[in-house]
Amino acid sequence: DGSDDEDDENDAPVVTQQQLAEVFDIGPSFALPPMEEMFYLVAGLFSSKPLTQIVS
Amino acid sequence: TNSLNLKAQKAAHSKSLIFEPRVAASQSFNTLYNLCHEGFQELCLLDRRFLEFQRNIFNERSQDQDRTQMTEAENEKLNQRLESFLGLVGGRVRLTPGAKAVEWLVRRFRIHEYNTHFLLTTFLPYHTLPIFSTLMSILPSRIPSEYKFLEPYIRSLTPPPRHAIVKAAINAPTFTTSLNSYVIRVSRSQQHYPALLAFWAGVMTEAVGGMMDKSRSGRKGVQHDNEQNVILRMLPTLNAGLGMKHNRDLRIGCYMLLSVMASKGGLDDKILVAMMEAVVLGWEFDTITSGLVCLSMLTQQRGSKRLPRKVTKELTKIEGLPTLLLQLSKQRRVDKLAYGLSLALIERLKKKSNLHALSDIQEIIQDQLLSDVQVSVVVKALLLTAHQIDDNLNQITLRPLLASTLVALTQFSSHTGDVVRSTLGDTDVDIDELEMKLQTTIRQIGVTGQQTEDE
Repeated sequence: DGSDDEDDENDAPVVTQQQLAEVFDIGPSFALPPMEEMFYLVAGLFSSKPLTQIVS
Repeated sequence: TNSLNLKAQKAAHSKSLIFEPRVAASQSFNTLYNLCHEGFQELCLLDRRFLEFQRNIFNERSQDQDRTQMTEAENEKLNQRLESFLGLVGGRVRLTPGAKAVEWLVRRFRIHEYNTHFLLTTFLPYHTLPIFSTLMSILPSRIPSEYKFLEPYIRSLTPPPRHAIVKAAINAPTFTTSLNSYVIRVSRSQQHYPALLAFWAGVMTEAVGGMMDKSRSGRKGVQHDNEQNVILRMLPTLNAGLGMKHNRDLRIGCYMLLSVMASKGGLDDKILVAMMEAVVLGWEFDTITSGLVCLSMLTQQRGSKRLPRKVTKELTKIEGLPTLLLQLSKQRRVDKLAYGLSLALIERLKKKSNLHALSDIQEIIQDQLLSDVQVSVVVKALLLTAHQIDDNLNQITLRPLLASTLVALTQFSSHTGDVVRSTLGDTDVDIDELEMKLQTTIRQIGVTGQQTEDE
């Protein structure tokens, strides 16, 4: 079946289509935030949490 | 039949982006030209690249150019000019001058019939605006197959929502390919503008996510084939986009697509390496940080491996790389990138002694960018390199550098220092022999795990 199985090796978070749409579907193309900002939002969704939290 | 012909001609002439059909039907080409040319002139003031079209499609003589009377070759040449103009005007169709200029192409050259595909793609980033609905209202009854998904919206003359476009990009490979080709073509001609690239990158990022999810249904073998198809469909665009200079948004858009594809687990090692190289080879000052983020996502998928040579070479050109990695590590995991880099730097040491390489490795360990296991492997690799040093000139200069790096590592007071020290006790390398070779003391008295205190 097509259900998601937990993958221990790959700890990248599961990102839904809805979450991705929320980054882009916020207004007409000519009113979107800069590309770099959108990239960091997308990367943030797919990135694993930091290995160490460095608290200074 | 003559009157029927006349009627058909009149109906065709009434198709307009600006005027009501009844008004349009009564306009002469001369009236239209004067009005549209005004818009064109304003465009020329905004961007001098429009000027070249004064010689042809906006020339006064264009008033008498009838496509149906032109040869196939002439039509072909005309199409090239029209598409070149459309690419350039794409960023300005929301402005009155832009709309007026495009109106001339609709009325005189019937681009909505002859260049439907290119025209629709040019207007697609504006799919929510009334001008897009107007365009849909003048399209011929048969539209290009890539745009079949627009049919219900054309029938009801309602603007297609974004998710309908994303859905088409997921399910219709011909549409995906044509949108990709359009963006690459327009970018190559330096006609791109932010809204187009934002639109494309957003739609394609979502679509790639959707395609990868979709390819996962079905049997394992079928899944793999489906995934490969998605990747093959996107690779030419990624290669072209990453190969282009001075187009920051296109480049970052490609990073976005790549990150999604990699994170969905779809890229095998060979493609990952090729893409990692493409990410770093063309990056420029203002795309390095986003490039590093993309690279960190690709390396997380690649597992614990030494970075490819070309990638390492480009990374060593970045000043203050460990600091940059430390900043990035606060938002996301960069350990596999830092680890793969460290291993690659050690490998390079054997060929050329590089002071920076050693201080970078030291900084990476000190900044706690690596896990304990990774620290341990890197330290072991350093010890092994030190052990293998021979008396050729390159390596003689390396010797004191390696010695001081190893000593510094063992002196860290943090948890990392403990890991380094316990690694020393755990290695196959003969430390006594090594200390003699390096003419230094690596094991610090009183802090080495396996040594008794000497008071």
